[in-house]
Amino acid sequence: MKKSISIIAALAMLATTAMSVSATEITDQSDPKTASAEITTNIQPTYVISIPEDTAITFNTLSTDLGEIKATAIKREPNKQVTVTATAGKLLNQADNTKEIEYALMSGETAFTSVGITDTLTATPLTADITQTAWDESYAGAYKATVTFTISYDDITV
Amino acid sequence: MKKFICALSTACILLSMSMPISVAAKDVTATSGDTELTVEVPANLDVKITISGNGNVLVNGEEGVVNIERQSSAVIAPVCEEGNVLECLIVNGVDVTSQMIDGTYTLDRVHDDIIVEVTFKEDENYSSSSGSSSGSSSASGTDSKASASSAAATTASQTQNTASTSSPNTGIALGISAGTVLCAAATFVIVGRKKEDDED
Repeated sequence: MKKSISIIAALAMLATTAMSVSATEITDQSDPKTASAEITTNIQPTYVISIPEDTAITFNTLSTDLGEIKATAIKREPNKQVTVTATAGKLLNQADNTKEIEYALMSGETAFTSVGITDTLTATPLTADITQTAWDESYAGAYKATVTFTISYDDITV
Repeated sequence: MKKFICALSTACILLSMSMPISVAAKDVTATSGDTELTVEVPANLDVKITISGNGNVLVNGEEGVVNIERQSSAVIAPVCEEGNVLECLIVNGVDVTSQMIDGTYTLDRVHDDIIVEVTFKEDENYSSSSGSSSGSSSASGTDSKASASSAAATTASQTQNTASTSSPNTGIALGISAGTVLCAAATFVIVGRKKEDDED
């Protein structure tokens, strides 16, 4: 039902590999008889984002559920988020692309443009809303639109 | 010398351990996905008609219409059968009886299926004798469809008015004239028999 976009850093394998720690020799002649070892590692951000599946909108339906945007897995740095931005293409008549049906990509009562995701708990439901006037004025035929979801890894903006 | 080599190697190991493996977040490739939305807008719309009582419904002047072209007009005309009147016309759940003009109701630029519910009732003021003598279509022997069509452009009130003004008067007049004829015939017969008796 949902499409998943998996983003995994190319060097993720390396990132999760801890450096080996070589033994430091401390002998009876060492002074002081202590040594320290610094261990570092770097966990790469990974995430899997679900976006709405292709949807057939029923004629004269004012609001059609498309599904939701959410992260099914996310590993991120502090102060970072995965941003999903949607670009709603025009709903054009396939026989005559000068004819279109106006629609709005909505999340609840507000128009959706983007969402910042920081966990797997939050989901953003989307709907495609078409007014009755738009339906009434529409010409007969098949229409198609493409909604493009772009995923980026950004700083959390307050 | 050994001490120097040992210290050098220890320093090298420690130095290498302190170097983090860094992969900046910017290296994460942004990507995108598409979702397709499709819509099918029909060219024709369904017309569903429910009739209660004796009558019919014409849509755009035709009987038995089941669909019409989208964005066109629909003229709905209830047609009463003889002796019936229109009780109510409901279009898409709204009683539009009072909005009818010349016996029809018009929907402009239809963009959705139409559900028509028509109820006819018997005309209380209708009598079969008056109908047979006063109505030109029925009196001249035309079929019931024709007589029904003649009533198409009448609303319930109009039909009732017509019936109340013409039928009773015509009935009385007919009754009087029939009685006169019968009386005249009876007199003629009686007079005729009297003459025969006298001749005998």
